[in-house]
Amino acid sequence: MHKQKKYIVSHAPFWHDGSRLTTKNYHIMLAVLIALAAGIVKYGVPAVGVIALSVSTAIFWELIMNKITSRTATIGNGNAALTGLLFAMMLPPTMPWWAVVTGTFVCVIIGKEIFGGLGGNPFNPVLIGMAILMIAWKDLFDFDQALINYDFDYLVLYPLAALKHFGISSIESLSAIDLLSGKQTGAIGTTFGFGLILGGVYLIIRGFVRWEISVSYLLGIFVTAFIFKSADSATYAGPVIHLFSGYTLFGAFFLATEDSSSPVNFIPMLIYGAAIGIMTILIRNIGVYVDGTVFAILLINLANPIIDKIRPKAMGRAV
Amino acid sequence: MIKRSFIGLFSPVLQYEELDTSKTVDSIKVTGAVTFFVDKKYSKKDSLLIKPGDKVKSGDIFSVFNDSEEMIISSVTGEISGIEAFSGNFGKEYTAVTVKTESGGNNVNKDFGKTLKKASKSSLNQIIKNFPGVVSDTVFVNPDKPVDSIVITGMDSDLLISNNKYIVKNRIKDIKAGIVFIEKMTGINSFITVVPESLAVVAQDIGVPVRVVELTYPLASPMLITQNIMGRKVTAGKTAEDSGVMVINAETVAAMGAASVKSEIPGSKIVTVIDKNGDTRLVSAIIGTPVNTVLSQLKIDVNEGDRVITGGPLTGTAVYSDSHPVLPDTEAIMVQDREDIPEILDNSCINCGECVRICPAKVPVNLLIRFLENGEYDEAADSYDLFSCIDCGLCAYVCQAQIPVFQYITLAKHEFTRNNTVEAENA
Repeated sequence: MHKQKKYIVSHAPFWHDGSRLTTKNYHIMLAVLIALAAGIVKYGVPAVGVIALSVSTAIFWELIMNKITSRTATIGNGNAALTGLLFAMMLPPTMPWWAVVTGTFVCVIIGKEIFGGLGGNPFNPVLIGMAILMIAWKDLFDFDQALINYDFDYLVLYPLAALKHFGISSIESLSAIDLLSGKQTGAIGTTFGFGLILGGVYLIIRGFVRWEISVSYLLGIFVTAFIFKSADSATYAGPVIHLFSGYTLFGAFFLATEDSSSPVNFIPMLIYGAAIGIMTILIRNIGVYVDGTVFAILLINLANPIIDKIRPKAMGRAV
Repeated sequence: MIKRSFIGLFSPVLQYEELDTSKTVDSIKVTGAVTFFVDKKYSKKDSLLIKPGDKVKSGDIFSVFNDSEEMIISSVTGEISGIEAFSGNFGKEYTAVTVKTESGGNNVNKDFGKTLKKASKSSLNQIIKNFPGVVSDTVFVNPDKPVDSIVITGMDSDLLISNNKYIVKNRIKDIKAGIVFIEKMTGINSFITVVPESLAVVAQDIGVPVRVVELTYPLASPMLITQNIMGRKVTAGKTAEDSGVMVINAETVAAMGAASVKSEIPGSKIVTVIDKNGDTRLVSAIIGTPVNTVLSQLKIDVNEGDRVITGGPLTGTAVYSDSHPVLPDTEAIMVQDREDIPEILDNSCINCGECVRICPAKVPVNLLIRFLENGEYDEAADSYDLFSCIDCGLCAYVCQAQIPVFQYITLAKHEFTRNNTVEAENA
């Protein structure tokens, strides 16, 4: 009798389309590079320091947690690095090292790992880190104060703070093109609007983030800001300022679209995006915070499981 | 293997294979032994109607067990050489009957057609299970399932396969005779044919209404044909037959026609063979021929660590031995190189939604998988549409986290059914 060859036996399907978590995460990192490069050019070495520290500590925290929970190391899939990178992009370049390390700890451990790792997180991990830092050390996020030692060739102004504290007259000189080309102060990676849009569109075309969420979010911002402006144009800024300043563009393409905390069905994605947009403007115009993006996304993350219940009836179901 | 396209905005669309009319169909010569599977568990205590050493002729119809109706149609002439137990997937038990072919065994049962016509309804059901292309275990004579329409499908169950398209193209007469036979035996007189666009004209000659199905996978699945083409309401967890529609392969109908008119023994099967490069060819194989005989005659090498699959790339079954026989429902034999086998990982679902967007039955796979991973099968069936799934395999095909979603679903359906059966028995 001949020796029986051993074959690999597993369940169907025997084909796979080749998509990988790793590919997705690396492509998102690739997409933010333009905006990131603009930030580094603008803020110099301190920005590089913050980015490097953030990415490396995020990976470090995830590895520690993998060891503690005796799981296989998941840092290879790029998600920890991505979390660190997105987190760094939302910080001012002058962020002290201890705040960066604390922030990534909160992002990775509290935002993600304690829920069981990637996929289990009900909130966007980056925003959990951001929210805790913003509440605990509010002064660190005063961008005008943080950038006082920089010398720029344009009006040094964090538009949303100026709007909040000095009223609409203080930001009248800002044009959409200036804002989009990064002529505003703000976080390391979130001021160069053209770069963010380019990266976001790339991700949408490649199917790594869903257009439904980004588009409805931006529409939500536009419509709500427009309504406020129409109601009282002396107090409230128009849609352009809201769309192109603060974390808006960054949030639309890179934060609100995070898989685990966002819906998957078509109508829920539209509702989810629009709700974040509306909430962002409400916080900016009525709330106490300068930029509402972080809290708006977190709040709607919370509603995600309920919104996502709006789904088509499965085949052959009576109810 | 079809990969994700560069533009990922929309869900990938997989297409069924068109019939390549330029290719010829080779016959596989059977050497040595063939094996038939009987859908019943075998134990040494069973009283059997056959024993090793018995002579059988090609076309002989015989029962195996004294106390069971299961029957076999021998596709070869020879001598029974072994009867043994065989375990399939999910603990399914079969009895494998091996027949050693005799050289120069041209002695065939010439009265097969007569036997078929004289058979009672219940034995006819058992006999027809041995016909090539049969995929349903109820066939069409079932008092519990009020089938009123029969769909003859010229479509195939999976990608790369073109067996039924080949039959529609080449065996119109046999299909017509098969329709006459079915009508006579069952009294059902509502027939339609579903074919791809390219065969719509040819299929007119069958003489029953023709409907065209797009080549988009899985539109040819019996449930979707019942819902979309027949306009019937389908019920989750039930089959197309429960909605009154019997979807039957063109190959089976042609075999019935040939058997009833020409007394042709339904002993061979058209099989699509898919090699390591994904190239396909059609062959005609005697039912019961071991897979390795087919592969060696086509000069396809299989090495240790490769994968041998009966069926197509999305819904087939991997077999652990290449001596597995070609069964009446073996539509394809596929060989996959060890380098090409996609990796499966134990990631959690990241909720990307690719599976939800591609699911033809609109199952919330992202929610379902969370219950399946934790063995919550009752909840999965009640609230998350487990039984709406039509087993197409697309969810696992697109899964970014490389979760074996389809395997979880199959396991869940099996476990849920088993638990509920045990509960019903103990009640």
